[in-house]
Amino acid sequence: MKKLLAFVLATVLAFSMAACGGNSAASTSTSTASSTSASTGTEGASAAEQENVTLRFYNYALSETAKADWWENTIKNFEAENTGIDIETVTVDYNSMISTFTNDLASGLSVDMIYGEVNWIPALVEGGFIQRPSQVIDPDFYNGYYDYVLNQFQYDGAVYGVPHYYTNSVIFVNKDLVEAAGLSMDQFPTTLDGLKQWIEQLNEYYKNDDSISTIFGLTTAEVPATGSNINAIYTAFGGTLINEDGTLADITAEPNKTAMTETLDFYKYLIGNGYTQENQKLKDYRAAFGAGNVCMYVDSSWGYAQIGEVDPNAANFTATAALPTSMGTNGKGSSLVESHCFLIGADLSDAQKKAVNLFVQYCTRTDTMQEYLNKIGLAFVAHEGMADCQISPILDGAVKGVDNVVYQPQIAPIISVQQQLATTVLNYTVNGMSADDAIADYIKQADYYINQ
Amino acid sequence: MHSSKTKIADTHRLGFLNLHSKKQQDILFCAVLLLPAMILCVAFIIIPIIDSVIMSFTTYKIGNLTNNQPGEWNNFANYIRLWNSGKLQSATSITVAFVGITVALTFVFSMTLALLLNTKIVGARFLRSIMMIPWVIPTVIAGLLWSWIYANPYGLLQYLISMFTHGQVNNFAILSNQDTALWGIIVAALWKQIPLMTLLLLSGMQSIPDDILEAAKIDGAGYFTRLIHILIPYMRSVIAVTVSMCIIENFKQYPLFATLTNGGPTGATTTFAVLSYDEAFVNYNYGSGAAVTTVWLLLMIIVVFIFNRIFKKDDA
Repeated sequence: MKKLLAFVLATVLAFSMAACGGNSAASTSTSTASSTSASTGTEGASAAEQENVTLRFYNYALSETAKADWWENTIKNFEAENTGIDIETVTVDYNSMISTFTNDLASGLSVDMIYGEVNWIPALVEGGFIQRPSQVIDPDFYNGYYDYVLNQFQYDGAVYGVPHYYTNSVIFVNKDLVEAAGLSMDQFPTTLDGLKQWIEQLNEYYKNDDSISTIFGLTTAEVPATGSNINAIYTAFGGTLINEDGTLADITAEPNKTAMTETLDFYKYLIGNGYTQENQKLKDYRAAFGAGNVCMYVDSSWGYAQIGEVDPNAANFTATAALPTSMGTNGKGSSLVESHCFLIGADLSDAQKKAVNLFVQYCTRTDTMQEYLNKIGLAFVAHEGMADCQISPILDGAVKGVDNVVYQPQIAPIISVQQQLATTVLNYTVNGMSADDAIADYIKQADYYINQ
Repeated sequence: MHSSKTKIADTHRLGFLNLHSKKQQDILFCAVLLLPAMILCVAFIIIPIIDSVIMSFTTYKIGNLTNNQPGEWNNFANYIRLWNSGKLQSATSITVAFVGITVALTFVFSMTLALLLNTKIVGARFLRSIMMIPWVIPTVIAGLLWSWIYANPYGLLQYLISMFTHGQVNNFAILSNQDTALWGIIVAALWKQIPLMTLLLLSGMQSIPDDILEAAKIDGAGYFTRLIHILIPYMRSVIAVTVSMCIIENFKQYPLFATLTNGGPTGATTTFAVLSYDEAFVNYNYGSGAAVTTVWLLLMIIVVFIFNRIFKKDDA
C-alpha cells in the first residue's frame, strides 16, 4: 500500500510539473469559433450588429504611455458605435511581436489584427500570419490610400498592410535654443553646408553651457529604429540600400558609394566634434529634447509622443524642419517614408473581415484622428478621406519634406540589414576603420543576412 | 534429521530467493518511482535538445514553424555560414572571455567577503542580509538598474566620474565603447552573483571543524598557511560546486546583455546567447539559431568537464 502510494505521489508530482505549462487555448478559441460560424449574408455594420464578433488586436502602442489612453478610448468608442464587435486588445512588446504571435497561434489563440510597422511585414508574410488588405478592406476605401505610402507595404509582389499615418524624416528643433543663439527658424538651412554652419554656431554659443548635451543628434545605437534612421540619412545623401527587385544595392558603385562615404563622413563630423553622442537611441534623444537639453535631432514625426511625455508643454519650444534638399554630391534630401500600420490576420471569418474593415475605417477618420495627429503621435495623413484633417503646427517646417519621400522595397532581413548600418557608422567613426573597410564589412554582413 | 536438514536448506534457498526477489523488487520499485521523472526528462529535456541539434543541420524558417513543416537538410550550411561570417569565432571568444573573467573575479571577491564575514566582525549578520539583495533582484531588473547607472550623460557613473575629475571627463559611456562595454556587463554580473557565491562559500567555511583550525593555530600555522592548507582543501567540494554553477550561469547569461548592450557596440558583447537570439528571433532563421545553440552547449559541456577533471585530478 505504501509503495503504491509512493508511486502515485511520484507520478502526480512529476506530471503536475508538466501540467503547469498548460495553455488557455480553449477559452479563447470559443470566441473565434462563434464568429467563424457567423452567417455571411449581411453587409457592413449591420452584419456586425447582428452577430457577436471578437477581434484579437495585437498592439504594441498600448505599452507606450502616451498612446495607450488614446487607443483605449478609440476602441471603446468604436465598440459603442458597432454593437456586437468586441476588440480584445493584446499588449505586446515591440521587440517580441513575432515570438508572441508564434506562441499564441501554437496555443490556439487567433491573431486577427496587428498594429505595427512596415518592416515586420516580410516575417509576418513568411510566417503566414497576415493577408492582403485588399481582400478585407472595401475597395472604395482601399483606393483612397495615397500610392506613395501604400507602395512601401509591398512584399513579394503584393501589398500586405494599410497605413494609419506616415512620416518623413524630421529634424526636431528647439526653437528657443536656436533663437537664443541668434538663428531664425525662417531661415532654416536647405543645404548640408548651411546646416553645418548652424551646428557650429550653436556649438559656439552653447560650448560653456553644461545643460546642452547635444547640438545635432543622430542615433547610432545598434537597434532596429536606428537602422531605419541611418538608412534615411543615407537616402537623403542620394543612396539606395535595396534595389527594386529586393536585392542589395551595390554600395561600391556610384552614386551609392559617394552617398555612403558622405553619410559616414557626416556622422564622423558630428561624433568627432562632440555635436552628437555615439551609441544613443532615439528614445534617449527624445527624453533629452523634452528636457530642453538638445538643440536639434533627427527622428520620425511621431517621436514627439515621447517628447511630450517628458514635458507636456514641449509644443511651446518644439519646431520641425525637413532634411536639407541639397546634401553632399548627389543628395536631394529624399526621405524614406515610414508608417504605423494595420496588418490583418490570415485566418479571419467573413464576419471578422467585416469587423476589421469597419475598425480600420473608423481609425482612419478625421474626427477619430484629429486629436491624435495634433497632440500625441504627430504625423501626416495617408488617406484622401482625411485630407481635411488638421495637422499639428509643429510639423509646419517638416511638411516641405513630404514631397520628397521615397519608399524602399521590403526584404525578409530588412531589420538586420538596416541595423548593420549602425555598426558601419560606429566602425568608421569610433573604431578607427577606414571608410572602405567599414563599407566592405557592411557588404559582408549584409550579404550574410540576405543569403540566409 | 534428513527432513530437518532439507527444511533448513529449503529455508535458506527460499530465503536467498526471497532476498534476491526482494532486491529485484526494490530495484523494480525504484525504477517505477523514477519512471515518471525519467519520462518527463526525456520528453522535455533530451528530445528538445536532440530536436534542436537536428534543426541545426536544416534550413528551418518561420514558415516551417507556423506551417509545422520539417526543416530541409542543408549539409552543414548553417555552421559554414556562421563560421565564414566570423560570428561563431567572435561569439566564442567573447563568451569565453566573459565567463573566464566573471567567474574568476566572482570567486576572488566572494572568497574574500566570505573570509571577512567568517571572522565574526560586528554587523556580519546584518551585512549578510543586505548583501543578498542583488541576488534576490531579477536579472532583467538588475540590467535596467545598471543601464540607468551607466546612462550617458545622465547616469550615476557619469555623475561620479565628472565629480571626481572636476568636470574634465563628461562623456564616459562605458557601454558605448567597444573596449569597455564587456567590462560594464562584467561589473553588473559580479554585483548580481557575488552574494550567492559568498553565502555558499561561507556556509562551506563554517562547516570546517573548529578544533582542526585551533590545532593548526596552536602548532604555529599562520593565517595564510591555515587558509591554503586547511580551509581551501576542506572546502574543495563546495568550491567545485559553486564555481561550476557560476560557469554555467555565466555561459547562459542573456538578460544582462539584452538589457545593457544587446550585443553591441559593433558586436563587442555578442555572446552565444545574443547571437542565438538574433539568429532565431530577429532574423527568424531557427536553423541557424539552433546551430549557435549546439556549439554553445558543446562548449559549455567541455568547459565544465575540464573544470571537473581538474578538480578530480587534484583530489587524487
